[in-house]
Amino acid sequence: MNEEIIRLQAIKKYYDESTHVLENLNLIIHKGAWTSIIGPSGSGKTTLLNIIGCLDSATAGSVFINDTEITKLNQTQLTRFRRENIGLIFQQYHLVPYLTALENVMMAQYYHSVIDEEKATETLKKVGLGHRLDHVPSHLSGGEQQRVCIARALINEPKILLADEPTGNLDQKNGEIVLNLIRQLHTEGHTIILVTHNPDIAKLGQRIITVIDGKICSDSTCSSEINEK
Amino acid sequence: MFLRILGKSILKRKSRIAIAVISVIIGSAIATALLSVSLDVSEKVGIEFRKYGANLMVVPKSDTIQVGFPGVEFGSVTEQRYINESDLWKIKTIYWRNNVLGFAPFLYQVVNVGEGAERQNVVLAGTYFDKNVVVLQPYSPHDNPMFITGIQKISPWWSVNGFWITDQNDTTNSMIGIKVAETLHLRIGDSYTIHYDEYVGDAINETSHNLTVIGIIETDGYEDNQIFVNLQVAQELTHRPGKIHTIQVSALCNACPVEAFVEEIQANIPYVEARTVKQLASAEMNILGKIENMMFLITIVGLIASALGVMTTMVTSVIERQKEIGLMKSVGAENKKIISLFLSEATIIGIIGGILGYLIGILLAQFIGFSVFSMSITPRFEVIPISIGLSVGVALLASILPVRRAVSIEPAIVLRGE
Ligand SMILES: Nc1ncnc2c1ncn2[C@@H]1O[C@H](COP(=O)(O)OP(=O)(O)O)[C@@H](O)[C@H]1O
Ligand SMILES: [Mg+2]
Repeated sequence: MNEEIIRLQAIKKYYDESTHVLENLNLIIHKGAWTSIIGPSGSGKTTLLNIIGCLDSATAGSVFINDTEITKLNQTQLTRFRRENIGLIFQQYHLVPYLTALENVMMAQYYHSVIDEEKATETLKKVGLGHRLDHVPSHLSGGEQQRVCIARALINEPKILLADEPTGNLDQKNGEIVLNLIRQLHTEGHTIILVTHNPDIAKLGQRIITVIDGKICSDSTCSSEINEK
Repeated sequence: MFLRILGKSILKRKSRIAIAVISVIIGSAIATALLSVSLDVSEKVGIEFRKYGANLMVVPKSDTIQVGFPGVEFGSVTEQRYINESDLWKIKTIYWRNNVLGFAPFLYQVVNVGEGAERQNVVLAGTYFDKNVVVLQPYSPHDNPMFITGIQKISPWWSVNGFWITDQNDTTNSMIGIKVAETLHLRIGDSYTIHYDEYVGDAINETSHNLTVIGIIETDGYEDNQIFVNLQVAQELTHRPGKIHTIQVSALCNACPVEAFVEEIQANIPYVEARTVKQLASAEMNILGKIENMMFLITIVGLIASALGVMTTMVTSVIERQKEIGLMKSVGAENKKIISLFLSEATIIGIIGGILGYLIGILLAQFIGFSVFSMSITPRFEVIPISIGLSVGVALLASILPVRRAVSIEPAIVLRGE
């Protein structure tokens, strides 16, 4: 459990001179860990996650994932690296509206390598959607859509799962289904980083990192600050 | 999977795709129509323009004849000269013989019509109407040795009341110009007598001939003042057997140089001079050229309109689908996959638009053919690949900008919550 999988060194992210989103951020994440990132809205959580997820690039600093310095990769290399190593779970699910649940999952296979309908079906069954394969997103509930999104994130067997407020748009019941699923994936060995602004959900992780104004405060020192606000 | 994504994304956006297809249809229909028209017309218009008269005039060489001995000149006389009717067939033995649509010989004479004080001077023109000319020595053994020609061949546009003379041996019927009919109060079916006065010294030797009006001609030209009869009638009346004054030749010449006709005719009949009816020929070329330029411009404008239509649709589509594109990228789609998705869509739009545009263009061509050139346009299959090629080309070209936009989409920005 002590093997390091992600290392962020002196990460800075500026959109322009006046908006410093991330300030000199250092972070090491261990393989198989469940890390929760918590913080108020606009503090830079999504930006941080996007940088780890190779969706966004840092203005300065280095990011290492599995000993690859991704901050040195070009756009195409980043895309390839991402599809091999990272599964993304979005708050808005971002399913393709005209494709069925099965096809949405298969699309990720297609852009990764080759499609395998059986495996895609298998994965959807795993998230409890075996009976919803041919439904388009508009015929699925929010919880079901999020589970399709999770199946899609899992389909290419990435080691790292990044979830940005995965339950943000869900009611309590569906939120729990999704969180249970994530918990199961964690026990199966995935490294999980989950962004949330809900402290109760953050507590599901082994480690809670609080981000405020683009800076990390260790969980113990900062949780009290949040409560004060 | 690619086809599924492509197919379903197109089906989902039927109406938007339809707009793009329609813009392509407009361009390719215009291109097809104008291309068909211009291909067909440049062929047929050649014939069409010939309606406005012969474009070659063959006359005897009019050089002055030297009278007397070398060095001792008694003066020069311009003698009335003729072409021999027996040489006519030689016009059909030139290299460009197949482009000789027809010719007609003319022998003119001023004659008197009417009795006593009513007598009027009228020009009598002897010519061929529908004559079988035997080509004695064909240029090639495959040539038809018989050539039917006459005034009807070179002037099919004449408006005739009544009938044309159809029998080449007819010596009693005549066709008269409308002004002749008016001044002499002649109608179809009326008979009249023409008189030819030949001066022999001081004596007048008059010959007469009875004619019937079979047709009245209206051309708005000098023909309105003439009487037309079979050539032999004029030759007999004026005692000039086998003689003609001029030959009018109608040559279809889009690819071949008119000068070549002139030279060859002069080589075959050495004592004649062939003249091109210059103004007409160049006006013809001018009009053809101008029509073609205009069609070309309209086609370009049409294609630009298509391109703009496709571009607008594609840009809108990229904006609408930016989350989808961002998502595809986030799950690992490389730029070339995104590009091929949009270019395939453009190609499909181009092909459908090209095919439908071709069909509509054919109809449009018919409409243009009838309303502008009063003729039908033969659909040309060689235009299909051109139409589809142009459409696909335009659609792809119009996609460059939208595709660049799609490629530049950053998933981190479009997938951000909110
Ligand atoms: N594309 C952008 N351009 C400029 N500022 C941005 C952009 N994206 C995010 N930001 C700013 O960066 C800060 C952090 O945003 P974000 O990472 O989404 O925070 P969180 O996820 O913690 O709510 C916010 O102040 C936001 O306004
Ligand atoms: Mg956020």
